[in-house]
Amino acid sequence: MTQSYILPDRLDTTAAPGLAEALRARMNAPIMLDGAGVESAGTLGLQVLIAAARQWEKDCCDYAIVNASDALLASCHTLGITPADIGYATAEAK
Amino acid sequence: MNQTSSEDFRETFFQECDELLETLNDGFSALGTDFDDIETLHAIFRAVHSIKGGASAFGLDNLVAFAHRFETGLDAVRSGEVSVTDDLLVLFQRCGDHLSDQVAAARGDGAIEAAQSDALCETLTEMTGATGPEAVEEVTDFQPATLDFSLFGDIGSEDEVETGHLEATCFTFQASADLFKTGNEPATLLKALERYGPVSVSAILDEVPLLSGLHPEVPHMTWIVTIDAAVDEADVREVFEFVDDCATLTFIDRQVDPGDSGRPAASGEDEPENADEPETQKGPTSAEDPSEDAEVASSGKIAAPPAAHSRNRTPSTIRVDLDRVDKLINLVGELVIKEAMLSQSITELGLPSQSDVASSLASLKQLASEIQEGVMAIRAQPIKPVFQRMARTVRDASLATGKRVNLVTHGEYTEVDKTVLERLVDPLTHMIRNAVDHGLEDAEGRKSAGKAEEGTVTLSAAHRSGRVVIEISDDGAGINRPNVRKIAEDKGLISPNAEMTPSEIDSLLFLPGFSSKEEVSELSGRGVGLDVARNEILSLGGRLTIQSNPGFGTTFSISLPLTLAVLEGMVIDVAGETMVVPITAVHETQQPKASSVHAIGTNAQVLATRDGLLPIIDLGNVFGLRSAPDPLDNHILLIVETEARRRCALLVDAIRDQRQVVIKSLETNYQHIDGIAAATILGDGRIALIIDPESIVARVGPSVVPAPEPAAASV
Repeated sequence: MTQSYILPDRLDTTAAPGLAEALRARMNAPIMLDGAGVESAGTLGLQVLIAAARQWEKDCCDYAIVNASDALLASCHTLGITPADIGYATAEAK
Repeated sequence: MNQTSSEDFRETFFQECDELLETLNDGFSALGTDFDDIETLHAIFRAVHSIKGGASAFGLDNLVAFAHRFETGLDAVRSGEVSVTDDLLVLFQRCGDHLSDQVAAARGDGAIEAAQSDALCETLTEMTGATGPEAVEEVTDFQPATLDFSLFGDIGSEDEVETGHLEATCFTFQASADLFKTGNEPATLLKALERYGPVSVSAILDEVPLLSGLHPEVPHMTWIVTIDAAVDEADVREVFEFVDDCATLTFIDRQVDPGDSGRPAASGEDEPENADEPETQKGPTSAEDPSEDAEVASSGKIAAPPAAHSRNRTPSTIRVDLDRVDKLINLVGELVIKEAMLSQSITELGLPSQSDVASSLASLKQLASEIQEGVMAIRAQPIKPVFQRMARTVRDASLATGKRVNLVTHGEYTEVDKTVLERLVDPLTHMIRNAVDHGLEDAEGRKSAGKAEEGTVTLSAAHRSGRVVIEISDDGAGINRPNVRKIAEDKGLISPNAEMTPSEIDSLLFLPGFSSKEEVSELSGRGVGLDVARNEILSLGGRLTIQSNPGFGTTFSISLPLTLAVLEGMVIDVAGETMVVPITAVHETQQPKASSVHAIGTNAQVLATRDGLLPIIDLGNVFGLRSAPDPLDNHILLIVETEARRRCALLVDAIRDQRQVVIKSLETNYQHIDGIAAATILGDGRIALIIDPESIVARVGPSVVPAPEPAAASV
């Protein structure tokens, strides 16, 4: 069964360790992250999402971000990170 | 980019070209002593390459095309296909000269004949076998406007690059964990770059680990940032100023093989932690410059550009508009005058010398003097670039006359005021040409005189007695005095019966319209040269003298003031007038004793000193302030030494002070007066004339001061 996880509204430096911890606790099972509420994102927050996407892929589990907010996508753009890198394209493909 | 900044970049490019051409000439000099010096060859290659790169950005197609062919020829030597020989070095120097002409032409100074480029290119092809590809590849090392044309496909096509319509600044950016600990965020910094133009960012995520192995507080990304505008590196670094110690920026100014992963070059200085897994750290694969590749290999994981980069940049220097410096110099000059006025007013108040006012004034004086020295030092520049231009003049003259000439330079780091430096070029050029064309004998003449076939012209500069002395010597036949005299007589410049000393005959060369060569040559001898050169030197407050030794050569000496703005002067009184004598000319002062003053002949006096007899010149008489000198016992004698090391004693009434005076040109405000170098404004607001001891001695000649009246004969 696919777990759901609502991403915090701030995905910044301060939020990164907590996010990493929360996602680690959900490893080895399909997951769907809801990005609708993300109001801002920074390098370390997005890095956690990239690492997570890679982890789930390695573990052959489904991973997806849905409802990525404009703020989340804009932050990705500023930092030269594609939506696919954080798993958003995968969600759309589904 | 608006028009002004475009012009600014263009001007910066030309300034860079000047420096690169200087490097080029240095390289040729070094190569002349060691043909196998591969490092020098690389430096020469890089200089040409950088000029080409910058030129392509400004669409200077002719310059780019020639630089490319030149570069190809150099590359043939670098790769070992061709060895450096005397002839090849001469050819490279000619190519360097032509490149310099091309730069000047691009700057709007003169025009270039295409045939000349073609001829040099053909010779290059013959001698190096390097024809060069049809297309000119587009790489640049030109720094101020970092130009990267080929890193990523979306920047532009090759065609755009060829025509130089594309300007972009590209660099990589890595952040360490500390950047985040201090509350900074790369996104904010990258956003801030948008002030310079459209920014595109690409994150390299190869090193981001799986979530299970992630330390969330440590960044694992590198960004490749491209600003679609030519931005000065310093401006980019300014954005990162506050994270300087926890961000690594590496500017990319070379081509990356498109087949490569695009992994950018990174600086090795302050690597962020956990950011160096060797297998993922590939440098650019371009193998254009073996020397740079060697640096890649030696570092193992780091690519080369930063090394070349740091060599070229001098972040500790700034370029300043000369007008600003001049304005500052003028203001400091005014400050010195005001300080002198204040000083005089305070003296008139009769305050005790230990008063607070007096000591504060002394500090102010000291400060003003230091500011003045500091400002003058800004204008002082080594004479080296001028000497390098003369090297080219010698090569041209050598080619035109068919004489083999070796130029030897000494003291090229002697510093001279920038204005003086610029205005020296024309007179020096003429004298150098003159030395090659008229001074040196032809090969046969030299052989029969028992000299080496190759003539030598020596150019030297040195500081001497507070002045700059530049000498141009040749080891030719010396001045043919009978011939010079005959020409001067034929031209009616002197009377046939005139009695002349050898040095007076030599000085005839400076007469307007004099040309000793019967046939006017292309090179020199237009009959308008030396007098014009001399006038130019005179207008700089300098002097031009000539010394010739028959059979051994001729030396022209130019003596120039260190600065055109201030001088240390001795304030004197002469017949009720206040004047200033440059302190550098004053050897000593003394009160004349009757026993040491002797009459010579009917109308002259001399001073007996430990060094011999010196002629006495009464300044009051020289300037027509009095018809005959007073008795000497209540006067003072200034022993002055001229450039030609001649000494004489100037008779003055009193010495008032010794101080720095601001030079105000008489020529600019009035006209030249013989015996007067310039004027100055004294502390009380009065104008004082600054005398020129050299021209006074020359004007009065060896017979000096009118004989004293009988009443004074006992003196």
